[in-house]
Amino acid sequence: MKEGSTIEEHLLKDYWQGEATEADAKLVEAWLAESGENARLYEQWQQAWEHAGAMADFEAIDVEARWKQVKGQLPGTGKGKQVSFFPTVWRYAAGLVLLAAFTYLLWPSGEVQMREVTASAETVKVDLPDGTEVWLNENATLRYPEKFEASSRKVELTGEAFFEVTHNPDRPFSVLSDGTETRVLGTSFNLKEQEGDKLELILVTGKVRFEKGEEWEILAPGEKLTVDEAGTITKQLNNETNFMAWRTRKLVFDNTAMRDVIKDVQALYDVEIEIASALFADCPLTTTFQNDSLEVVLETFNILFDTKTEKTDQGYRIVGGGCASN
Amino acid sequence: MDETDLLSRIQKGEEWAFEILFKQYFKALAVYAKRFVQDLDLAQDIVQEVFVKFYEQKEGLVVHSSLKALLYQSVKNRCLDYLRSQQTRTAHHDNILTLNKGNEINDSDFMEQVELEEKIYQSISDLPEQCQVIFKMSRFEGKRNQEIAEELNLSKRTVETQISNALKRLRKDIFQYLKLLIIMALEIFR
Repeated sequence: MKEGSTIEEHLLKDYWQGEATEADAKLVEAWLAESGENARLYEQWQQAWEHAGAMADFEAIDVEARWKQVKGQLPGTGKGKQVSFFPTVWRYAAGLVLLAAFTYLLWPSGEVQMREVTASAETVKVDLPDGTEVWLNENATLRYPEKFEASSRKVELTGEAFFEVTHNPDRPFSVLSDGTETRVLGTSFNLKEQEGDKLELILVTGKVRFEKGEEWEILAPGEKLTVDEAGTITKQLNNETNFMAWRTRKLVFDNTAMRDVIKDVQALYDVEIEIASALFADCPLTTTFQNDSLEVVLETFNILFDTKTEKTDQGYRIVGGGCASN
Repeated sequence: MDETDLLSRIQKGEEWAFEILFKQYFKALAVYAKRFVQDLDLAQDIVQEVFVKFYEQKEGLVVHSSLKALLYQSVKNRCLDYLRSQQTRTAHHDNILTLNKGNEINDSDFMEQVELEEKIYQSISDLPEQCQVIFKMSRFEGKRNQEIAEELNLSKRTVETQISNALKRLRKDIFQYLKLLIIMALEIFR
């Protein structure tokens, strides 16, 4: 927690606009004098307020209209008029647009039947009625209606899945999981619901809005949001490179310490691996495994770091090994 | 998708990749161009022209630093060309003076400002609707809290709370963004 007293932001705004009452102005001045931190906060608010002035320009620009003009001028185009049904659009894969439109037509109204898919032993790919693709990790379950509603697309997830959502701003796509809602337009992201209330969301492309009760966050590509056991939401840049390995079967390591390498290997192959030597645990590894078996991976370690692999009841144990310090 | 991938797709003539690039940068580039030419419509025309040129020349394109840097640089060059062609020295008097002096406008600040402003714009667009409406009335129309409350039939307290919420959110987003900039700067100097 921050020290010092808090102040209501609207008072600060009134203050720098010279509209605060005398009493309020005194309040603000006392708060400002309290600490350098407060003065710094004040400056940030003021900065935000001032730069917000440019918003009018951003709002006045119609990207869609401009894009249509540009599209018409490109060589090899001009195949008639393009009807756009997107008022404002974030990044999206245009190739999916037509697909979405078709699917929409192909799904006339009727009773809604729910479907449920569970990936038991291996990754399963599910094609949703709107063209959205979902890869379910082992033990994950997806529930979705046979036909989506006219104004929304809602699915429920337990476990971990990667979503590549067909763009359709008129029908937002939502994933409900553990009392949270992740809402997207057209985008790809990895959502991992874990035991308890824990959850992890990594956005690859596009933009999503994550909601849990009253709280919400907007994610940009490359950002990771986590919810811990206590329900606290944290947003940070994602620094995990192998979060999609379960889907791609690819592990990439760049100067990664073996103790962290082993974590990723364990997760991908769903196996317990124990490291006996602290010396080995510190060794850095730079390599890529693609579609390799666990045996190949372990043998690679043996060759590189002069380790030995023993089979244990739970999995494997890596003995010995080390590396020239660099 | 990263920029290298995007560029190679554009170079292969995949128009949707070009569309992604266009939609990602158009607004910010137009606001940036406006800093030079002072007129938003003209600024948009210039940026549009840059994009068309970009696409026409895509095969031979060499990106030295980043696509973003290339786009900003191209837009800047087009703006400066335009200003030079405006020999009348009336409306753009100041700009032309600057041009002749150093032949270089210090625009790295412009670029950073525009990026920051786009962040703010996005952050405001993400606010719940009522909060957004109140914020805009306050910021753009200069209305007092009491006026806004009366106009929207809300209590003054609600208006104050919404303005506080908007400011809190803005500060949070912008602060995060500035932190990110610092991290990036540190990376460069490592």
